[in-house]
Amino acid sequence: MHNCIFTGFCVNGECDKACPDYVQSSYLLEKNNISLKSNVFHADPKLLQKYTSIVNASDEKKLITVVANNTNEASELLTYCGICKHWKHSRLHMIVYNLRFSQYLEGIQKSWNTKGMTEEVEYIKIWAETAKLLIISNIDYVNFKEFQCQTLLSLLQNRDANGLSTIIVTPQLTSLAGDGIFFGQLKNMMTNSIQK
Amino acid sequence: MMLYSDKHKIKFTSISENYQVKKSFKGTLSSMHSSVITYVVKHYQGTAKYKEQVVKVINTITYAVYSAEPLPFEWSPQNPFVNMPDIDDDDIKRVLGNIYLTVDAIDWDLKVVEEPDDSVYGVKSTPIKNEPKKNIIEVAKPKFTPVEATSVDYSVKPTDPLDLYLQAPEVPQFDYSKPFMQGVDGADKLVIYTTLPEIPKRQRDISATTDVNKMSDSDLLNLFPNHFIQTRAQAMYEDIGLDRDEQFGNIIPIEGYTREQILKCIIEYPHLYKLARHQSGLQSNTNFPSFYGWIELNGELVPTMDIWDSLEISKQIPRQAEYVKEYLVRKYLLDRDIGNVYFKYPLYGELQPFLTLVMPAEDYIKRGYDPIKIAKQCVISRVAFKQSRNPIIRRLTQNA
Repeated sequence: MHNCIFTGFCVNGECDKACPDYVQSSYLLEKNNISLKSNVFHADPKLLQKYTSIVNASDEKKLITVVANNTNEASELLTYCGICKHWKHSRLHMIVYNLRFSQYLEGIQKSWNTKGMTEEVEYIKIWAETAKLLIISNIDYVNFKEFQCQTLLSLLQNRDANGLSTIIVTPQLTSLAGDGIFFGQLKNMMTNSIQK
Repeated sequence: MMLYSDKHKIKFTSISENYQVKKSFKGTLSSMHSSVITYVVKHYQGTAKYKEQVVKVINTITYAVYSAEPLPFEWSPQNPFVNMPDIDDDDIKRVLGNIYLTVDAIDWDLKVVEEPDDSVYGVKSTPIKNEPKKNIIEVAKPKFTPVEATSVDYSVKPTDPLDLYLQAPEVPQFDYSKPFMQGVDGADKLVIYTTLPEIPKRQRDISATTDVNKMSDSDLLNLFPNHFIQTRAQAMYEDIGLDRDEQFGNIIPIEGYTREQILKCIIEYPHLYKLARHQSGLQSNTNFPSFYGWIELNGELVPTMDIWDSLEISKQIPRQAEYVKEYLVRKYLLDRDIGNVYFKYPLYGELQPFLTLVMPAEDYIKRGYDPIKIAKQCVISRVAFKQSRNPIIRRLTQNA
């Protein structure tokens, strides 16, 4: 296949659209918007090693916060490392998901003016709650008021209760905007889970 | 209905004897389960988490044997929690059916060990007396932590056995702008991208697109592991009274060949991975019979187990899958490389020597090999191994 990440290494019996390795890995890449042109496929080896070890650490440590200058690059690479770790036996379940938090909030807020959530937001909600590994990104420009904090905190709490791993990708915590008691709690939680 | 449950428990220490597995797998599983039981008895902690871990290991072993899925070669029943593959529980349940074990289905007839020996969980280095600058690696594992503060700072990590794998790297890297091969077959656009790093840093990085001519001598020397890594089936390293090599383990006698020839074959082919036979005249590319399941006799393929007991060798080695496989492949390789025997049903795909380098360059020198030559051969062998089995290359070249 032209969009399979294993072609150079493959020794499977057949290459076709039914190949389980291809189907499972490409499904996760596609749903997480990672195209083959992405930089994650020729990443800096040191960064790759660092993020692979963070993803491995998320097996034990259920909440990890990664502080990065380029949060888009970091979240995409973490998502790719997560997909590489978990794609096998995923059977087309959204086992690794990159939640773009600001878009998610926007989707929820839009649904307030309609009868209910759109199918797209419903899916995002389900994946965010059930993915074995969730990478939360795009919190850089969120103004964390009560609703935004509560949405994120309750998501983190539910995931923790279900033993699911979450990685939050953030710029320096001092640059996050917000106020209120929940914002303090959120920042504390993130500070305590920062992965050096 | 489940065979074992909280109402019908199986005693943990009797699993190797009484666990109702398929008769054909009883021997192999009994010995593997027994090693795990011995280990757990010595380190039992009694916590729910520990029990879950033990049950997972036992179920995974049973699953691996039932589904003929090899366990990673760096996994050992003597240290069962390390390097055990994480197989989805649903898959295990599906394969094991009513013999799937749960924590509640086991009567944990064990005593909690107060101070578990933590060396079993990782690498422990022990300084040798009078030789303060050397360390002995007792258990091979990526992380290396000197035990005593007085021992030397060991900045070089022991090579991870995963670096020797033939499978794709954990996180595949490639250059999208550099197609190595591409074409259209039917409705499918097929592309092999040049893998990265183009100069492999470890054996596992070598792919169908690697060009050995781009590698310098120093690049080639980087491919050697910095300690001996066991890559044969674990049973081959257990002393069962057969002739042995100190490092490479048991040497199964093969009629017509000397000990030196057999040992050389083991050194040059230390890792036998997913081998299949080529069926001449077979049109389909997907249906290659397992190499070990069949023996070629007078130009005909005969199921191995139909004739195994009539072979002289069956009286000399244990009736275990690992030994049968080892004997069949060694004999084939010796017949092919030294005996120049023609096979109607040869091995499918390339299998050249030094596909895997398992010890430091210095150790190969001691055995009379030129490290640059064999490292170069390693790259050539891996590229040939992958290209000859790559389904995209097959599709594109067959239809060219």
